Amino acid sequence: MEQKAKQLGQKLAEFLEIPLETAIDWPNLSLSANRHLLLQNHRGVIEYAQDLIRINTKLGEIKITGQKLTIIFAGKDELEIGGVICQIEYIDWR
Amino acid sequence: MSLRSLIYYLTGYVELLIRGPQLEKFINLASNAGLSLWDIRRVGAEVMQIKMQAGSFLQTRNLVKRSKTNVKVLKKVGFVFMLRRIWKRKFFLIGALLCLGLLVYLSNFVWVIQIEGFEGAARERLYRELNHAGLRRGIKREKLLNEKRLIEQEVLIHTKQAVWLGITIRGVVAEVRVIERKSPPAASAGNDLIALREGVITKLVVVRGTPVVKEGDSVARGDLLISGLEWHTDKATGALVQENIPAQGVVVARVWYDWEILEPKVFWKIKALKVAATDYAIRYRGKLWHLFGIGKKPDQRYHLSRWRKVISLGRNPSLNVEVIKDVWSEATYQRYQRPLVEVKRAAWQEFLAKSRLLKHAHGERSSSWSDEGGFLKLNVSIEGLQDIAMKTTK
Repeated sequence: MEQKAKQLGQKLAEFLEIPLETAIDWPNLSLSANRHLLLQNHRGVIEYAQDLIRINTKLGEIKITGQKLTIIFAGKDELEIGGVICQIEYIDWR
Repeated sequence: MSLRSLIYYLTGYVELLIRGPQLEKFINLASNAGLSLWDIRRVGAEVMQIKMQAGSFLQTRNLVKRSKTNVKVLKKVGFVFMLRRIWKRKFFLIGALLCLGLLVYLSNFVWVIQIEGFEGAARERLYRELNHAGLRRGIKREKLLNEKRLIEQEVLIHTKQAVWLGITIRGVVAEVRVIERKSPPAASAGNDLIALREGVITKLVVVRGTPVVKEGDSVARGDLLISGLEWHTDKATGALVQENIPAQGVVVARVWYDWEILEPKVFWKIKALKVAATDYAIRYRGKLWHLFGIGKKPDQRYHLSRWRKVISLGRNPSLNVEVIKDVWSEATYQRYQRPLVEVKRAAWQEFLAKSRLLKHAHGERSSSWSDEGGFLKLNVSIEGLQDIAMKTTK
């Protein structure tokens, strides 16, 4: 039932041309070159090291690999990551 | 510095060193609890350095327990911590406040005088004139603002090379801008026509001589208008010959006459009270003979009225006897607020009396009134045409 409601919500948002990340809390990634990543609607940090950051989202896991990675800001819904980002992987995404 | 950093600095933040196997859990718990973390750095395998707002630090106690981590405060940064540190150093605080107060106090004075426009000796001379007129280092800005116009006028009068002078006050700097008078070619005594007063030339008729100015030119008093030097070619030799002839011509210029008349709004009238003393005397052949007196003359605030009667002893006026009665009364001063109509009438009368002395002061007249505290100022400007050509004196 809940799944159906979400699908309906998604279809409605697409029909009304509302950005999906605002209508349904899908993760939103903004990348500035390979130095700065802003991730909205995250669900926590799974792993954090200087060369690897794994972040949980509603749709799956995001794996960021790079060098000298730092979390510039960690808020409830927002996560800013700095450093040299080499790779972004989506793991087990629905 | 971003706005966020500025806010964090003002509200104060702490740098924490967190140790433990579940550092990620700490981050998640903190962000879920609504705490803002920034500059999160992995320092070692199980060590992390973070920054958080000082106000949120106490909330981490529960999070530390749940994430089984260990927290150590590395640094306290921000304005609030700085204030706390300063508050402990009372003398430093007093010194800083005194220093600030001194700076604020000193900023009420003019400390630098910059002159723009004159160089060398002229600048030194102008500097001395400014000093003499009242613009000197250490003068109060407020006083200078009040006296600025007067100083400008006085210095301009005493500095003949200046055609305009303006003082601008910027902080503790008084900028003096001066425009130098461009001297006309030197007049050859007796043969040139020079300007009687300043004005704008509207008509120029040259009978003899070489015109130095043209219609529309603005001239100052003493400027050369028509030169007596004339060049012509000698028919016999073909060479250029200079001749000094008496210049003749008419130079009509638009001239301005300005008057500033100050009329007081308030008078202090003396009012005689009771009679304090009376003196009787006679004057004969220029000598005053004191007869007798009744009462004592008041030392201050008195009113003197004199009654005189001349008794003629024949046709010869030198033999006349003058009887004098002086009455000394105690007096008081009464403030008399003059009606505006009366003040204006008096100002106009004074202007008419002054302007009558100048025969050329006829033309378009414009006037304005300005309030100068206890005085009412009448500014009258008359614009007219006048032949300003004048022969140079030998």
